[in-house]
Amino acid sequence: MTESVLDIRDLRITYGQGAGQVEAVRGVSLGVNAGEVLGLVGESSCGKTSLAFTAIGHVAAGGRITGGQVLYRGRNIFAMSPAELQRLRGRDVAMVYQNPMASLNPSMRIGEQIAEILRIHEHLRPAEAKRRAIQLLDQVHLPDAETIVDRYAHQLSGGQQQRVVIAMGLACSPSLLILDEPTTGLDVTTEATILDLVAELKATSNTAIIYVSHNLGVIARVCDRVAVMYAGQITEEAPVRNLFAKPRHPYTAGLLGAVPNLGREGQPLRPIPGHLPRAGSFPSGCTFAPRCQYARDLCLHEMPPLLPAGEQRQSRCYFWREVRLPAGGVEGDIAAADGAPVSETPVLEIDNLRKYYVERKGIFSGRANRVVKAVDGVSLELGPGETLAVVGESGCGKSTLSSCVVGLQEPDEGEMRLSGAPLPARTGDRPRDLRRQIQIVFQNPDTALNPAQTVGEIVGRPLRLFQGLRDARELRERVERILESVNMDDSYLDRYPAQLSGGQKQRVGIARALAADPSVIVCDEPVSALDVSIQATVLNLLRELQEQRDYSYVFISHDLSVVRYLADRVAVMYLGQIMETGTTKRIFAPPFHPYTEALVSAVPLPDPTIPQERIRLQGPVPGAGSIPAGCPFQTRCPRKIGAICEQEAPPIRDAGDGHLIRCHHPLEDLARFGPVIELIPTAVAR
Amino acid sequence: MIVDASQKRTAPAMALPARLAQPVPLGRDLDDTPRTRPSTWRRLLATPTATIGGVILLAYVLLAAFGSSIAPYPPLEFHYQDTLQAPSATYWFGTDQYGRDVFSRVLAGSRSIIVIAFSAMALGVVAGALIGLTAGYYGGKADEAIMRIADGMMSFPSLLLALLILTTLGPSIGNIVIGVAITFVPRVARIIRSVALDLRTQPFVDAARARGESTVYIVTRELLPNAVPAILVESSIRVGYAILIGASLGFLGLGVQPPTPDWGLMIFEGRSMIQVAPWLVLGPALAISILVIAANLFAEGMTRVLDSTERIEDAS
Repeated sequence: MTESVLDIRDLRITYGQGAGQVEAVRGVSLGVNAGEVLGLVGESSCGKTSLAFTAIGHVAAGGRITGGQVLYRGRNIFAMSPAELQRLRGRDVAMVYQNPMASLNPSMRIGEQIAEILRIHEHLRPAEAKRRAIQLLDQVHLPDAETIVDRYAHQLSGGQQQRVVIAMGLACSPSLLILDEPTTGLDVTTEATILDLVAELKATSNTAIIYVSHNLGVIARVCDRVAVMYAGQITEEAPVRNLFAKPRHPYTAGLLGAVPNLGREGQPLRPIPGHLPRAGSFPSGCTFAPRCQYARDLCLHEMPPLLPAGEQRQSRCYFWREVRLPAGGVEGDIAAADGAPVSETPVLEIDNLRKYYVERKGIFSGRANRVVKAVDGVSLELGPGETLAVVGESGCGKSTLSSCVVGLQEPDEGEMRLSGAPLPARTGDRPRDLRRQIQIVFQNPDTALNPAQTVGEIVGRPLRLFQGLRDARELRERVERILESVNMDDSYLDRYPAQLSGGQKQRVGIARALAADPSVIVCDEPVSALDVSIQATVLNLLRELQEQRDYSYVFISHDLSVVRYLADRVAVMYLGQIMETGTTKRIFAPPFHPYTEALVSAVPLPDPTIPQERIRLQGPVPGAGSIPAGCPFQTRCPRKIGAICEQEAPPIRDAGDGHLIRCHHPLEDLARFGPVIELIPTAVAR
Repeated sequence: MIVDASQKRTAPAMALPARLAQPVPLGRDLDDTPRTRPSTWRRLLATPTATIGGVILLAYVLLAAFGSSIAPYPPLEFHYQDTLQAPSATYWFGTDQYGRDVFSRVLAGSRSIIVIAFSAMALGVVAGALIGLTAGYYGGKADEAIMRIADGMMSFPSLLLALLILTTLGPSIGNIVIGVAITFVPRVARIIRSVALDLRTQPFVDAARARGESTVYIVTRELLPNAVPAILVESSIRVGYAILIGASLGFLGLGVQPPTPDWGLMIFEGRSMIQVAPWLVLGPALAISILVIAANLFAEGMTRVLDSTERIEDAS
């Protein structure tokens, strides 16, 4: 078991030339043994992908190795001949990337693509190769492997594509498999099944696996050992359980305190102060020191080496003995998570909203137009100062719902009311005051801000438009005050979005929404594009603002951990319909809708010690154009009763306290299914 | 071990001088200065093709402004004793059948072509960009209608279409500008429309629509500034075409009228004597070729620089 497969020694990778050169990987030593899963975790541009790529002897364009070695079974990869490299890449080391569609040839059948590898490297005959391809697809649990070999990549779902890519990687029984964010673009239920597959590989083969991810929950679920990277260096390396239980580097501890954990109730998030250092402008001394609460003078002057920090552990911190997990639950408003049911008149009412798209097939296809039911009869209420989360997998219609609320799309049916007054569907028909009251914060901060406008112009525009402010000085003062409320000072006023970090851009996005002085803010996945250490800052900011000004949020998200942290009430959507709605507390405890149960069970928890029941959904989400008859969830439901689910639309069952479940199972049955996660209260609930 | 007991911290891993063991305040000086990228101008100057093309273009523009004053002879002056002279130290590009100095005429003739090329480019690009942005932003039926008309116009070769317009409007420099500009409009509109199609799905445009901004505001304030790189690239490409079409129309006698010097016209006039006096054609032809090559070099450099700008912004 201790046979070393890959050994990286003091590796340095530099990008760029001359004055513009930047060291992306700064002296990393790392090894992985046969039969072991090594997690490589870090935030964007920490060098984890550059590092992973060296295992196949590749450095991205513009980069070069400026020091160190990468040894595959004792042989230097970067000294190999092209023929040796080809053998290494095809047979010995396999790589799986984030975007499976980009790894598959769109014009080749799946079977041929797998067979090609086998023919070249294993010299199999075509018939044999095809048989083996089917075996491989079976091995990664693709149903109907015989038919899938004859399909093209675009005919498969994202999860199926990723399985095919993994099957291709396994084709020649590699001794090292590198998975680079393999589940990042996938839905949580699909992600769970891919992670199961990785765990199965670990158990059944002797392949060494390097799993690269930014997601601590995913790392906790599949890895044996974890290396944490920050700004091109390994900051901590430890067995997975020890790392999550007792981090010994302030960065690891900071990350664990900054990510919402579904398994721990009421734990306030503590963002890591500051932001990621820009490559090329690393501080002298410890790279993490400017953001570190343990930092002392020494840290500013001398870069700490990787110090032994207990059994099989290393930490790049002089003071690793002092590092503690941020204590949970002493401060912070945990009452918010309990959520009071709506008693006052709702701010926003959505009544039986429907939005159908007609998919035109073109004149020559001869097929009938298909109707896609993106939102199919959704009714919701949002109270003042309340956060209503709408959760669901991609394609469930949650974004269409938010567009309808904001007025970017026109629903086909249904009504919306704002503070009792009817809300016209089109922005053009909404009086200025109604437009002002509903604002939106977008998912991707890079595209949400006009790159040609300064922060001052962006935030000032709603003030000009809605408040009629014209005076330049007054405008500037108001913008400054709004920026202050999102913790940014006036030095940002004249900057362009390209000069801001991701978290700063998102805060400007929030400031623009605030500038209109709204009552409802629709947040469409506001943190999913941000680095984990930054997410907490934005989440806490949204929370603080709500406490101060009583904003109501419609919070669209796929991330249940974030939802649990922020929301008062939750609506779970599936194929355009709301399957379950209720207060956050009730949503995350039985009785569950079977779909909610599966979602909660799939969430990767950043704590390997929390037991989590394993409920997996089979197959992909049916397209919204072919919603199954009866209950929309019946095709994937692990708790399907039988014919009744296929024929009749399920009734809405009222579990009291505004908790509604749309299911054929009686509530008593649903209640018996038991909790999916043993929740560990870390805070004393009020 | 030297530990500052008052700090109530557990012992660090190693002995430290007291000064270095001092805790330091949090949230200090993270380098927060804006990322500076060399300006577009800087990078344009660093691109050899753009620099060479730009310098030649600039020289031509200066020529257009001051060409007739630095010419060795007045361009219309007849030298009856020196008709059809081959190039020599006195007459660098030779003389024509009236004994006029070809070099001086080439210098003086630069004005009309430069004026035509740049005005037609400006007019065509501005009109095309506005139409393209609007079509791209509206999408749907309006876009469909505008683009089909554009397709119709583009099915005519540029020269033919310009010729058609000119024969209707009558020959003059102003009409050449209009004619050439009209042939550019559908081509520019098509490129800028594709940029607008891309831009209009961006969330910042959604944000503007959700605020209830007017179409004019969205097109001019949200879309236009972000289409500027594409518009600049398109402009630099169009200059080259404008020179070619402008010269061709001159050649066909639809622009500047004799005896005013014009390169196209000079080639037309020299064409019949190409066997005996090839220099009559050579001078203006050389001038046109160098100008077009320079314009294309500049366009090439511009494309490279501005495209990489977009890539950098995408990556960040």
